[in-house]
Amino acid sequence: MISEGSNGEGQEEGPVRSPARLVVESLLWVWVLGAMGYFYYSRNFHIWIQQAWEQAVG
Amino acid sequence: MVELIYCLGLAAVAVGFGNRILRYISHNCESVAEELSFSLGLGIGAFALGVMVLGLMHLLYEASLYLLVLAFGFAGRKELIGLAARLRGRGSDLPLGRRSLYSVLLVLVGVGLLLGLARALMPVHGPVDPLAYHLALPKIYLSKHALTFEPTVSGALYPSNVGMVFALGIGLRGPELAQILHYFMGMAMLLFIAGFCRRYFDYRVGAWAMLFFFFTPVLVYFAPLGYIDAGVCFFQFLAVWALFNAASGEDRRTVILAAILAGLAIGSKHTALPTVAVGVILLAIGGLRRREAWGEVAGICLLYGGIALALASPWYIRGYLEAGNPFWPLGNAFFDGVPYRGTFSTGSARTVEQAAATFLPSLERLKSLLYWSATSLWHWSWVGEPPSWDWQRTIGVYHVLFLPGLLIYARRRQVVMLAAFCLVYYLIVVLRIDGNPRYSMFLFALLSVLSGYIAEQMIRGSLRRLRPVLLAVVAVTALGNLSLSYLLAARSIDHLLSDSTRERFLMQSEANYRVFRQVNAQLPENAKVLLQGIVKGYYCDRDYLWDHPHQMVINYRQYNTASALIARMRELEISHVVRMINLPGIRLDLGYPQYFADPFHEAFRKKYLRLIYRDEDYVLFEVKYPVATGNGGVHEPQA
Repeated sequence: MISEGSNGEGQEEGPVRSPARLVVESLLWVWVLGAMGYFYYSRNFHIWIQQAWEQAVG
Repeated sequence: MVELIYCLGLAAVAVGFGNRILRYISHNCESVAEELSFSLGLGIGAFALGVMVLGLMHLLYEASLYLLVLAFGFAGRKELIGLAARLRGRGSDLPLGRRSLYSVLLVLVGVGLLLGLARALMPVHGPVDPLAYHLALPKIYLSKHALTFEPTVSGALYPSNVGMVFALGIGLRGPELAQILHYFMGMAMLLFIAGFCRRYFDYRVGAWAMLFFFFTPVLVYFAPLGYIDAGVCFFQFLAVWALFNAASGEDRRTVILAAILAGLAIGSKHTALPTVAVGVILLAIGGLRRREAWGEVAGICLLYGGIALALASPWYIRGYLEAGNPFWPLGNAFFDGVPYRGTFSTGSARTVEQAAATFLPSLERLKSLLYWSATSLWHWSWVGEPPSWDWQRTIGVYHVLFLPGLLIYARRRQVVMLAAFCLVYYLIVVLRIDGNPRYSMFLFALLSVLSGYIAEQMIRGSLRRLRPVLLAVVAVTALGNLSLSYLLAARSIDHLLSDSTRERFLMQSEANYRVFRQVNAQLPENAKVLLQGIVKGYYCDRDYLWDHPHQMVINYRQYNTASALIARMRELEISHVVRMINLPGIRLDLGYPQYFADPFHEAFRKKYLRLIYRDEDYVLFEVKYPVATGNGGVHEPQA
């Protein structure tokens, strides 16, 4: 069990600035943002948002 | 809307009574959120077991259900008041600022909750499973005041704790209350996730996890319907949470709580059985790591497994007594139970890839298993396009995006433990539990916690300056999910805002509602109806049998002449037949006959069936039995 409990401001895994770590973290960011954008665009979620908006406001 | 008040009332009673059980076990909770979560789980579980006992004692009446609720309410009144006092003012303790982006994400979840509620408030209609058995079986039990064995209805002897909660809802108010109770159990998961994250991570991880889980398509679609899977998830998540508490070195009381919740989960669906196996392994590892004596570790494992299995055992004993097979109809060849030709499988690694289904050791099989193990999560994330994607096999994209981050950020023991548990369970799901994400929603709740942990680590890591970008992108995707939820709920919202009645809505929306309305109005109380080509029997208020290719009660291969079939129908006391006029190809593929194009059934119809009602989709026949003559012969009806 972790000690910080509900305050949520624990000191776990603070940023480590080694170049290798930075590269790996950058790759994760690119993967998460890129693939998330691709998924929602390729499945036409922008159209669902538009349709929902049009239906909701009449 | 009245159903919502009923639901909240039942939830309050459940919390009070569950809290009393929690105190009886003397379990100490780490937070009020944890206390509320376990109290709710135990209370709903107590309702399920209470209704089961009433059903086994042939006392399943509306009045006895009200008495049960009153008794639980009375027993837990002090605990409810105490818990309410402890909860008062806790909302302001939440460290999320009003302008925090986390708060924005949670507001989006709140809007989604309302959209799902609109669907849950609808008259029960549409998908097959609820109207065929999840809600239909409890309704049959209520009409017969007992847990009877219905050998033609799918899942008739499956463990049914969630079904008992549905019976409570149907008995007190109707099927819509059962549907809302299912939605409530799915949404209670948000509280559980928040409580679990508060204990093992922090509130921010909880906010991420709630969002990821809430927008999991399989949950979005199925929670507001009368399926049982969100209910199974409800018990299974609590069972795993309590198990983690127990494995973290807590005392015997925590193990007892974990065992009770595991028992409630197993009593809800067979798919929860592996939880106990994994739980025993976890407790053993935890005990040995703490250098406890072998005997003590074995005792804890026995205590856990024993309580869990004992609590679920009434369902298995019932299966054995009724059908000679505790898992009926699964494994029927092994137990030699009441005949049943197969089960309705919705597909799995075993059916998707035939090579994986063989039990012969081979390189091909190994490759297939490895392939499906490695790619199922990927397939469930990427396959299909909304809204026509296969909802029960669609889990959204968040998990496959964030989980690779475990390779960077999984350093803490509880993260590694949780990830290992998920991996083991995932392999069991893919390789053994029908490969269907709907059956193991709790796994996606746990994966949401891990994904939330990774998301939080990312915005605290080297690139934390990009924090607003990630939050904004996720908020946009949540908006996309919300739009989809809105489109799913649009018809419900229109109905709720209109002056349309439940009756009119069902006449327009549920194809067999009109014919069953006719059955309920015209046929005598003792009529027995054979449903041909139909499995959704919920709205039929008369005794009925399913005529589907898996059951062996009325098997056309065995009764393959008109005289043999009419004799069998007389034996089963079938007085009427409701038939679907034009069966869709998917049913024909399952082995149903196209009755009106089938020479055998046409010849039988002309000789023994008299039309008394028809609409565009269904016909209602009366069975004309041959009349026995005085000299031992029979007088056949005129064609």
